Amino acid sequence: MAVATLVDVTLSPMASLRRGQRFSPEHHDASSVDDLVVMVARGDGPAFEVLYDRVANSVFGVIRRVLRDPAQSEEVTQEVLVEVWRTATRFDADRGSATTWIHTMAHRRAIDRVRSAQASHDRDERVARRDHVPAFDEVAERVETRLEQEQVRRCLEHLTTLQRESVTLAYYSGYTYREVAEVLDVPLGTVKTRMRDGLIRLRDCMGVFR
Amino acid sequence: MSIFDLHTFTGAYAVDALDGEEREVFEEHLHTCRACRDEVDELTAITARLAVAVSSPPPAALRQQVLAEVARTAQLPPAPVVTRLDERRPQQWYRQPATAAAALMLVASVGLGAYAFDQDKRADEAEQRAGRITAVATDPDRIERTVPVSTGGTGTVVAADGTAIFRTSELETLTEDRVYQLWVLRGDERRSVGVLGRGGQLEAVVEGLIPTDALGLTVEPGGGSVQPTGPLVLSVTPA
Repeated sequence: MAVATLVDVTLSPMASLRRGQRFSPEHHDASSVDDLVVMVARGDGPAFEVLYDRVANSVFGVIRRVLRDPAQSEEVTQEVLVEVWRTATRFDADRGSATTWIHTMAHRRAIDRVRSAQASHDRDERVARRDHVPAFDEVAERVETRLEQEQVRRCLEHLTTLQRESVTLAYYSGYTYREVAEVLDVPLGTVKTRMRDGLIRLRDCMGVFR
Repeated sequence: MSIFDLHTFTGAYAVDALDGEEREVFEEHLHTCRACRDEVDELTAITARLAVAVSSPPPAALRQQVLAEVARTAQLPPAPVVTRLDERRPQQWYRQPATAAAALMLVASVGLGAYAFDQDKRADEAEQRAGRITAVATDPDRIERTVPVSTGGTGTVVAADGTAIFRTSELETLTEDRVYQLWVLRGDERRSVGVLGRGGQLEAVVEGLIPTDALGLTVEPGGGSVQPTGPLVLSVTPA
């Protein structure tokens, strides 16, 4: 076991290195979600408002899809968006886009909520319902969202039935892969593999790196 | 979950289909499997598109609630920002600098050169960064400290105003499957500065440090680790 060498080094009083740059609201509106998160990380409140308008629909949408209960969905949406503000300083662009970061957090929070003890009853009901076919909202305000919906729907259709059900039961209905295997009556290993190759086929269809 | 098929869980992990315990086991595996990490990042980007596809407006009142909550919520301090200098820089930099700070002046100018091919929007940042390196090197209150590395060689840190330049000298050369990796140690958090190389003269610039941070060097397998797996062979603790 090597010995750690500890040396006292006193740093001079430190100024913030990320000196906040302020941008005009017009600048915000034209900014990408990635840029907005960088601004938010500098404590830029107006940038957060623009970011809210940019992602609130999709964050709420995916949380509600998983949780279904509107009141709980609002609560978790608020938690997630406040967490985006709080941890924007830690967003790591090397791991992916800010959009991915935010929606991964949203989905994870919704899943954690749905799997918590008090939600177990609802889950039983959901498993019983088997309503795994995603019903997309008819009312999509933004054109980009409508296009995105059409593309996702089209790409989901290109999957095999087992791939599609594995991915959507997990992502939209919040099932574990064990539950998916049970509901679809297929081996665990098959579900696991279909989730992976289903996502890969979606990627090839949607062109994530556009 | 068997260790042998852990890497095939990337899809299930990306759609959050692992239960709590399995998720922990898999995340543990992610620390040591770079290919798995890359695949998870790629698959997660697709799930985000699935989220956007089910967009649905929340009640209008939520906006004001969130903004009010945000107004009374403090942000986490920035994580250390890590910059690695271009490893292809000319070796004459190292020729007997009069002081560590004098050498860093060169680092600053060549560091800027290394960013010359970056996009415009990064040029400003690079310039600011080079400016801060110069500022560290010329700061009258800067700290210059050279400490031994327990496995051989020395590490020099020059720090001021939250920025530290770290450079090693005569590090023991490691076998091909091992690398030196630098970390920022902040409380219990271990954040990788990056893999520095296999020995000799290695270098990194770390920004955004707070006074309680320490820099630590470990020996890690192959492409480096997400969390340190080896003991610290060097650590510098700002007071």
